Amino acid sequence: MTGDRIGPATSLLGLGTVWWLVGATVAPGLPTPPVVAGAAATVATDPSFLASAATSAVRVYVPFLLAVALAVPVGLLAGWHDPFADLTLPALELLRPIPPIAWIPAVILLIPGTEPGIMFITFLGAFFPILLNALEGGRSVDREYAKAARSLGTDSASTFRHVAVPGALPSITTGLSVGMGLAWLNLVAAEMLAGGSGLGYLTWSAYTGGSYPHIVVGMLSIAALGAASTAAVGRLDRWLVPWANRSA
Amino acid sequence: MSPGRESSGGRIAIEGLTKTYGGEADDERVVAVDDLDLEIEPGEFVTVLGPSGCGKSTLLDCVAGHVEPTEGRVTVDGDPVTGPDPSRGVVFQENRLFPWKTVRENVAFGPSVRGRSTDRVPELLERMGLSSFADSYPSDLSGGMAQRAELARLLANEPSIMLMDEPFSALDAMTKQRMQVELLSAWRETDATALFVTHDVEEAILLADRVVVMTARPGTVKTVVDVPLERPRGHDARTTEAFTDLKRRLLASIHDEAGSEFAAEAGARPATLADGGDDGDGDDAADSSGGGGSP
Repeated sequence: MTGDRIGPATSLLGLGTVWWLVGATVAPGLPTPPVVAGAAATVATDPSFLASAATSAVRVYVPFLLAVALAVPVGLLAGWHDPFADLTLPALELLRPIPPIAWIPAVILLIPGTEPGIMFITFLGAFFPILLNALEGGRSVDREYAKAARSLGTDSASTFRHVAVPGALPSITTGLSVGMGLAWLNLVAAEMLAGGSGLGYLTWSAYTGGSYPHIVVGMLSIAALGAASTAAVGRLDRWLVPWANRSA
Repeated sequence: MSPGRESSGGRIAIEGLTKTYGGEADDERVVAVDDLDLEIEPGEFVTVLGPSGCGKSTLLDCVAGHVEPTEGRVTVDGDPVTGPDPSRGVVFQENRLFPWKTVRENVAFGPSVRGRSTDRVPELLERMGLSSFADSYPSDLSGGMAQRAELARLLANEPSIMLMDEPFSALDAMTKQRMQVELLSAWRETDATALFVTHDVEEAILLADRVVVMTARPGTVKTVVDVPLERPRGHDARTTEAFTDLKRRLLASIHDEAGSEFAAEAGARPATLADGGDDGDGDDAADSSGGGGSP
């Protein structure tokens, strides 16, 4: 039991040591772990910090859920049914290579108000990975299962429901996980550029205000919320796909 | 036979069935099944025996409705087959149990998706020795158990026709023999017509009322052999004189078939072996003389 913890403890201790050493040698401005811990302790009870965290969470989750609601059905149908792919994918393929961050200037000009603009950027971050994984999920389902289902009495709608959807789920939940990560990534970029509030903005204003400990606290709190979101998606995966998630 | 069954065995008529795969041009096309005629009586068990690539799976796919014939047609009780139907149940070579459903859900799938009663499911699981695995996923099953679950899934739908495409070919020899006898006793409890494709001569004899021997490329019926063994048949049927007699006849018929194909291939490159043997260093010479000798 203790053996299970030696590895992770060493890994974290190593990070702390490197952090300390870097601060002591090449980057004298870098606040030490105790200084950051002190700043974090005061910030954690600060209502404006908690409000920023809440703002950021809303800016991730609302667009993320919207992206799921759109990208999963479109991607899955396109992956399962070629004519639907021809109808939807060419237009989406044209937009996909544009990095969400590159949309920011256009969004500032075109979308009135900060919130919808930032949410649009996080939406884009989540949408495409979810779409592509749902597409790949639909394509990867062995069509022999559909033949078996048809011989057992399904029509095309119930074949989709009983074969395409569950067969694609492992790939879809992978997409959710990647999409969640990219939603946070793009959120921080959007908040730093256009925020006015949120954890990304807080980190950026700590920089403009010259408060090094608070920069690191901002970074770590973004990491913590991102990790918690990814863990939530992981739990969803284990709940949705019990048959592919059991260790032998 | 058993009370409450909605249908008795179906009569299958295969008329002039031809299936070609591949391109537009003649030389790109592969003829899998060529002008095949076969009638199967209600409640009959017919095995189709042939070498791999003889089109026997294509034949089965056409009866199942998964493949559309290029020419000819398949009818069941006079109605043309136009697509898959739950009255024609299929067991595939590799198990096609849905990995995302438990064994119980797999077996109940047919009746539940058709809005029928699933009351028989526990009994079928028991019958197939799967009760203790009812809540397991298919990935937990051995090969033999998986094929038993497939069979249970098919039987739950009470089909009038059972189509089986080498369902036991991936099993070890002992499991396979046990499964054959289990299949026979399960089939006898139904009135279903059975069409079973295999390349195993003993399997073909043990199961069938009639064995249909197919020729390879293009696939068509070479001969049909009646199996006069009494039912019910158990493991001891394999050692009867009538059985070994049939086996000898069928083996002769098949190897005659495989032999003629081999002869045809060898005939396309005459005398190459002799030329190469005579002339140790003369590969070029051997090739050119071989090429000159080709028709």
